Amino acid sequence: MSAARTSLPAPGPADWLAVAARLAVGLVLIVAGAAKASSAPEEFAYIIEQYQIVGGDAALTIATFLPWLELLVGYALVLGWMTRPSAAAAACLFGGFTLALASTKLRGIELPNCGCFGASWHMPPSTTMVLDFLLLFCCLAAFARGRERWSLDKWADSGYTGRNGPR
Amino acid sequence: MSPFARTVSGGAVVAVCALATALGAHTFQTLPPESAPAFREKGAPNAKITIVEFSDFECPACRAAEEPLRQLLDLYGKDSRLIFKQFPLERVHRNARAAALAAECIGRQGKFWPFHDELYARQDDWGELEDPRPLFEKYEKEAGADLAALKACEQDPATAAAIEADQKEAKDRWVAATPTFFVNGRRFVGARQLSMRAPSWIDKELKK
Repeated sequence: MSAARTSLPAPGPADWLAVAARLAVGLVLIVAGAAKASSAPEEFAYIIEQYQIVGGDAALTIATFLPWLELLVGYALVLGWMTRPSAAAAACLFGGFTLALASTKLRGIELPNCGCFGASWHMPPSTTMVLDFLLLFCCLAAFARGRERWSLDKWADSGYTGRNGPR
Repeated sequence: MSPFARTVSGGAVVAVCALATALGAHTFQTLPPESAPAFREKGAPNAKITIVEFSDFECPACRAAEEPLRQLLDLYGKDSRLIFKQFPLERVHRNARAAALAAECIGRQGKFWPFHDELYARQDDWGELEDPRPLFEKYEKEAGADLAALKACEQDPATAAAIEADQKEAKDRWVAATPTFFVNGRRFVGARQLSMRAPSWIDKELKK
């Protein structure tokens, strides 16, 4: 335990990049979740149905819970709570979105926009796929080093390793 | 505070933030400002209920939806406003764009709604014609429109741009079929959904 009580080394560029990546992913998820939560789930369910992967009740269930999941994971990342599981969950979300968009391309389904930001922002599917890839890399960075700075995880850890030791 | 308590507190902060955002987004949701040229609007501008209709004059389902729509507007009277958006499905309906252009131009002369009714009522007469314009001219004459002004208007790029703007809006709003109605932001596709589900939604909105 005594070795762990030493103070943190000065943050390097990699630490700050990881924090920036964590914040970027978190903010995108919060904006996307809030945009979808602002309208009726039926409206988002309609968009999900256009992907022709799931329909009916399954689409409505996803439309109801996905905004909440995005908000929870988004805030967890911004605040640095359970950073690694949250970054992994975000990576799964972006991976899922990318696969869903790629499958529509392969099946020749033309979507007017990705629908990922509800009615507020209309981004072409191809741009969304690029953004999703970038965010996937950000998730990796957040997973690797995102909990080291400015995070609730660090604050929780300080119960073990903080300057004042365990309380 | 123990590390476990700190982790739990952190989780509570995350949950509260997510809850506040979701409730805030839902409560303070702002409907996009619905607008169209005044001649394509009906009802009081400050009505509590705004119905936006994306429609195609050559579409039989749109014609079928006219009666339930009229009943709805009659039922809610001064509480309701209708905005008509041009969404000609040019790939399926060969004369839909010409009809939209004609309606747009006669609308600028203050005769949009009678012409709109005429186009739906006589849809079978002009829908399959090689060139529907002579028939449109006949309707326009009957409506007492200034034909020279109509011709100039139909060639004006601004007229086509107005229709294209509506088509883009439809695309942005994921309108895939006609008629699609947005009643205070909620989507209803087709006459059946409009007549079966819209009244309960409108009643709920009026109670707000």
